[in-house]
Amino acid sequence: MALKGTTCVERTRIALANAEQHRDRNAFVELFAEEALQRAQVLDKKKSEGGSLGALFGVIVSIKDVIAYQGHSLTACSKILDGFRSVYSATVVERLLEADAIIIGRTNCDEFAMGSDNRTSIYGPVKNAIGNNKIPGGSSGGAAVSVQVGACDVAVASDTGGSVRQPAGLCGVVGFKPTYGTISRHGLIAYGSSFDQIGLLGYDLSQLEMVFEVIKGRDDHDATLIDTPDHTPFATDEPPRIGLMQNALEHKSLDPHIKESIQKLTGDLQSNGASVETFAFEFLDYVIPTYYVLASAEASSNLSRYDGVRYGYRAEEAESLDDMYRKTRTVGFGDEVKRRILLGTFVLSYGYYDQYFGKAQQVRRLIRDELQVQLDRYDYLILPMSPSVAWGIDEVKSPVELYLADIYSVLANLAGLPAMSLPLWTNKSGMPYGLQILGAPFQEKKLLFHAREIMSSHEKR
Amino acid sequence: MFPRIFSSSLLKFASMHQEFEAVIGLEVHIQTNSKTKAFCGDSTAFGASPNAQVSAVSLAHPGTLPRINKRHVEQATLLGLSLGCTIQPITYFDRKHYFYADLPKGFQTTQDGSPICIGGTFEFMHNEKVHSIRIHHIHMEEDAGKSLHEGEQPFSQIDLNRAGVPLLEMVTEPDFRSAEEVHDFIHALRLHVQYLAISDGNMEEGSLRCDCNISVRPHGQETLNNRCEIKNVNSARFARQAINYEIQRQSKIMREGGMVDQETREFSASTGKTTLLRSKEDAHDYRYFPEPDLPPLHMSPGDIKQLETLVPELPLAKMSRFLELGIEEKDARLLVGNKSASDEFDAYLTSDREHTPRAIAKFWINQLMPQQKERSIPEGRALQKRVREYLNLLDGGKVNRSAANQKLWPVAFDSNLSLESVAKEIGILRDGSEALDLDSLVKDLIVQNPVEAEKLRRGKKGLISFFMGQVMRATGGKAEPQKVSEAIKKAIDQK
Repeated sequence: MALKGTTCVERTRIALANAEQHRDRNAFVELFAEEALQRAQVLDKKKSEGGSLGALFGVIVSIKDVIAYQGHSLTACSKILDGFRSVYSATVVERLLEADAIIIGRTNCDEFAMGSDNRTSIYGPVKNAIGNNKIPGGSSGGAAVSVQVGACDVAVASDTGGSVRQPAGLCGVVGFKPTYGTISRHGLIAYGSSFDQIGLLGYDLSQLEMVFEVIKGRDDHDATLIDTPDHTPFATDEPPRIGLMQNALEHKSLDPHIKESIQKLTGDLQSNGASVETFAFEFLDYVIPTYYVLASAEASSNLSRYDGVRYGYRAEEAESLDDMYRKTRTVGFGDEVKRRILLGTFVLSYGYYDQYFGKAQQVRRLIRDELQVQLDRYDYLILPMSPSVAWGIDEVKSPVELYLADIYSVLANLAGLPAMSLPLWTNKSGMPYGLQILGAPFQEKKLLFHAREIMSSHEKR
Repeated sequence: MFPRIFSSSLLKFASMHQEFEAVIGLEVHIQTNSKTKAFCGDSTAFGASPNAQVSAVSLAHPGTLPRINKRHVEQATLLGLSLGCTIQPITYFDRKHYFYADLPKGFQTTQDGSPICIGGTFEFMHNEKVHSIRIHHIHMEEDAGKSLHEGEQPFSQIDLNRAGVPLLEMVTEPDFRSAEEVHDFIHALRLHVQYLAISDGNMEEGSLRCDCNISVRPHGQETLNNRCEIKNVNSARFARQAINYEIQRQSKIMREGGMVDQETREFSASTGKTTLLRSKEDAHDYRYFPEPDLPPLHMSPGDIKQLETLVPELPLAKMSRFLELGIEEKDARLLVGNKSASDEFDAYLTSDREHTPRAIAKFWINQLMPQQKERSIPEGRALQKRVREYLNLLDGGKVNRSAANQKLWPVAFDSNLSLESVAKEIGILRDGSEALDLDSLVKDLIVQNPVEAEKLRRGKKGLISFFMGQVMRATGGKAEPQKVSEAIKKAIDQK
């Protein structure tokens, strides 16, 4: 649902009304209604007075509850950050505001962005706007639904192992995760530092690209940002060379309908002149363990700061400092977060480091190198986004089952690659599923160009 | 000297000393004088009110990230270069995890696997000889905050101003054999970092703290026995006390046929003893892993070369140069021990070829440095000009040396007038009239002190200085001793 309206105030009112109307979906943990309207008024006034307008003038965005916004609550949907307000704004938030965007509210997500179905939030699960009582995917389920229901133009979220792209696929919107090191993580609550990257969800590729242009680039607060050459516009008449990850398509967990859709799409692309070659990715079975060992290790370290000493939730009636830590963290964290902290602590422990963390780091390098080899050969790679469509909110799934559902999405994070989820299909019951494309590092413009080509040729058919 | 608690045990220790040899290695934490913290822009100034120097980064608020402090890297490199360490072209930071209330992130950012400086030696004077200690490595890290546990309060107070302050940790090889060596080493290291201008070396403010690793073994044994680590000793004197206590404790266990347990201990300055902090079984598992928020740190040969030019002349080199210049050893030592004074001294030396370095050094030690302790006086050119003027005035014989030192030099910077004018104002300038009056003045004094005069006449030569003193008092110190002495002799003989 694209947002209509001519003035900023009008569009903001519509967005807020849409959010209200779909309140039962639980996409937002907080709407900044008054503030957004005031800002919209200011922007309209600026326009009527002929002031210079920012690149994102009047674009309405939602931000995931892991992104710091000065003076606003920030909880990562966890009890442990109960009552916490950020004293500063994330670089992305500052850049959005400078460019005259309107921030409409904070979106729900899995606790500390750990989850694939948005059921671990302290604020309760998010419901997919499509289907009956279906999960929206995760961890950025609220972000995806905020786009679905027309409560914003673009949702700004984070993607550590697929948290932007997977819910985008399951909700039928576009998900875009740029190259690691492109967008500042300053002000993004850390989960797995070497995986975390800000990503965007929306319907309109041009709008996503505009937001990307505004928020990317050098920031002194984030030492891991990589100075990239200017993203010059990319266009070509050359038919693309496409690599299809064959063994991903053959994987036993993949829904046959999804496989068929992808096969049909590649056929269409070929008949349009593209060259499509298949390749086997030999590390596919190592992707999940490698990701969960490394991301959990980093998470166990990153979440050490939530100790009840300086901010957030603190357990009462502790008898000693250790007792306070134990009680605070036992009550403050949910089960999934605790599971990953325990896993991460274990793989970093004395005597186990080499076997787990060290080994996983080596495998990560192999994965990265192997994907680079394929990206030297092809313009982009095609693989499924998720093994299935969205499941029911009440469906019981074991943690391992859920982890395995990330098999296609974590690759881009392990290798730091730009990746997108394109909402091409729905199944017979109307549930959406997406196509995933992966590009070479820092070639977002090229990836966006091809995404546009795929989507427009798909619409024509 | 040792506090009383050691006086009796020291005697026992002296005999044990034949039996056992101590093996000691140090981990010294040097707080650098970088104005900002190791991984954010917060101030590091000492003495601010609690938690006044804490941004969101120091407080480890959600979403904050570290960034490398260039000055900290330069200081680490400079220290390494000054000690002949190898500077690593690529190094990484690591996270060291433990939970404590004054450790906001739940980990300390440090360098575990790849320290920036490796190897090197530290040379210092011990028992009048140059002593050399091998360095294992030097790495960069950040400090933790402070926890204050006061009285019976059921809570602790946390001050995070120090959290994130840049540290350099120097880890030595186990090359020390006595507490005295360690004591002298710490003093020398303190001076060393002052020379490099990377730290104030101020132990009272905790700028230099060390962990001491100690084991003892029978003389001649090559393998090392279990060691104990004494945490956070914050002065050279305490290090000496702690190590001596520990050597004694471990030797006693050994003598009684026991085995020393590997453990971490802490030293109490009030009792002079070390006590158990945690045993080997309770040792932390720090779960080190590479800090993902900081990229590898690259040091190019160009960077290193440039920093090499910033290594100044170091204390031992300065000492031998001063001795070669003919400066007395005790004066040279005092000068070398004060970096800024010796720098001023050096600057002055190049501008004055008329006086000997030895004489200038004397002036520096006896007149200038004591004065600097009491008040702030000009530096550089202004200082040099005044010193020159003063020494020349003394040479010309226009003032009495000791009168000038007592009365003129202390006010030398209070006026813009020439020192000669100042001398005249305060009445110690010799204007030639003294010679005329001297004979009658002495005669008067002889009349006034007949007993002393008689003794002098009979050969008690020491009484010349009695009359000399009288004359000086009467002339306000303006008289020239040589002439006074002649006048006294003349008057006595005449009688």
